Amino acid sequence: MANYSSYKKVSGASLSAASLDSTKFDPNTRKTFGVKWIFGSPNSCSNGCCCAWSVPAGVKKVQWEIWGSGGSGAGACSTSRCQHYKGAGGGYYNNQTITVTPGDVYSVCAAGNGLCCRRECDGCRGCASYVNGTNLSNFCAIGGYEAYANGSWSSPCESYWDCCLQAGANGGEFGFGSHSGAFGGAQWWFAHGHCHCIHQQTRATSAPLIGTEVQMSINYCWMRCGCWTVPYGNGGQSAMSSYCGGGNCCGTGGFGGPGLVRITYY
Amino acid sequence: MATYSSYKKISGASLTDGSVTDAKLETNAFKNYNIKWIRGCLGSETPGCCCQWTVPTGVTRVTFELWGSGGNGHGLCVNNRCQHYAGAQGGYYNIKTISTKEGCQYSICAAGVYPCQSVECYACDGCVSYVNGYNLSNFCALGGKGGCANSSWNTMCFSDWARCCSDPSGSHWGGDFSMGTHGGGFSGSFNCHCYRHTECSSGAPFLTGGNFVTNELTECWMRCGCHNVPYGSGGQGGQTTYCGSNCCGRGTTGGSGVVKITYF
Repeated sequence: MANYSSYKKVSGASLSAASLDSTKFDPNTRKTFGVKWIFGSPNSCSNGCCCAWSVPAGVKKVQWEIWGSGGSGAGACSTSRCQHYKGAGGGYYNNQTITVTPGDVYSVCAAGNGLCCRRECDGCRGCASYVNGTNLSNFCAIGGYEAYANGSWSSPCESYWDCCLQAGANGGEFGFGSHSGAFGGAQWWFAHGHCHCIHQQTRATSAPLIGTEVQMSINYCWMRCGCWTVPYGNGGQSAMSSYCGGGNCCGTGGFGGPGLVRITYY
Repeated sequence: MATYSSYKKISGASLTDGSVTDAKLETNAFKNYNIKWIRGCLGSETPGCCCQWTVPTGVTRVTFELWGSGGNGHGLCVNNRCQHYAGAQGGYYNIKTISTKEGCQYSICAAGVYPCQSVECYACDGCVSYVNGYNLSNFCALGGKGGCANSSWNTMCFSDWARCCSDPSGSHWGGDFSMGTHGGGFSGSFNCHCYRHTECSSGAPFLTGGNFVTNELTECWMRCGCHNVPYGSGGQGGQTTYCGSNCCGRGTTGGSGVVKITYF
């Protein structure tokens, strides 16, 4: 039954056009903008960070930006022939903007770095970052590709796509990755034929839109591990040797940089 | 005494749900969104830009993003042994989103750059960008590490964190999330009369990206770091492939810092 409150309602139609300025509204009205970052430890052996995120009161739109973790570095991979080394790739990027309802809960994971630290000729793929929840479907950013080493001097040395994803892949509106690092060019010491290489230099690549720098180079060195942690999303450092046949050496590659999630909400 | 005007007030509770359309809003109501950039010149010597910024009418939320300036490039650093060279590091990044009030004033500095130790083996670090004001505490972004040269062939040639590995939670620098990148690794050469130097200075995260400031040398008595570099990037170093020369090639300054203000 109608009561006094329902009778005294005023329709917006009775308001003059352009008559409401922002002072007429509650101070928190439409003032919901915020940016939230989800990230794990930047160290090696990082588990990343997985959590549930609730849409704050008043928020209607959310932009998700996610980066997978970088691939890990290769081991020194010393054999009976000198190696050349291909840098690890940075994590992929993906982006999606959606309409949300306050109180909705999203499952968010910023990738760890795979707990992979290898002596072998190849590293490990980076891990995927992802978000699950209303209005999202299979939304993720894959990890970067692993570094590796080989003794084939006929391998092409240009960088290339390990995986060329279309921009709308993996549930996003726009995502992409970068090339993995190219094979480093080693200068041979001619008296030693293919063995005993010098001047190794290559790079692990960064994640798109972050843009970081990691490089590896040696002159003469029996063994150099990929010792340093690397920035978020970047490919890990590889181990290197300028010699061959060092069967007792065991240089290990480093971890890739962990993934990131950036939430921008309105 | 109550007036007719005070009696005729309408509470929001009296409005029919969904009946107030955009057409009823005054032109500027809730149209506060904007982005403002604070930055100095791109020259080789600039004080950056320091100013007061006042929160505009109606604005209640602000995101500050800071980039420190890049480290300077090293000098030629000649002595009686050949050098190898490490590129300068890009400036660090920090971001903070806060509630604010219209009329609040913030003291903002986008870091500058200045020639410093430009012929020496170890160049100066970049400068700090910062913001002070309501709801902020010790909020800043470090400058990058300067480039360097040495003749120690035992020095590790892989890139590393250079100045420091910042806490991503920003707890040391007052932000929500902060990060830097590696400095440039040492170029590869050996003994005297070296050749084939390749070094890169790094950029600043989320701004100029990875390694596109490059300095290469095959054989040359002296090559200064001649060119200005982008905002936040590490400067170019001076290089030689010889030793024992009297040359005095200089490194350049890093790219100056930047502050981005996004407000609603």
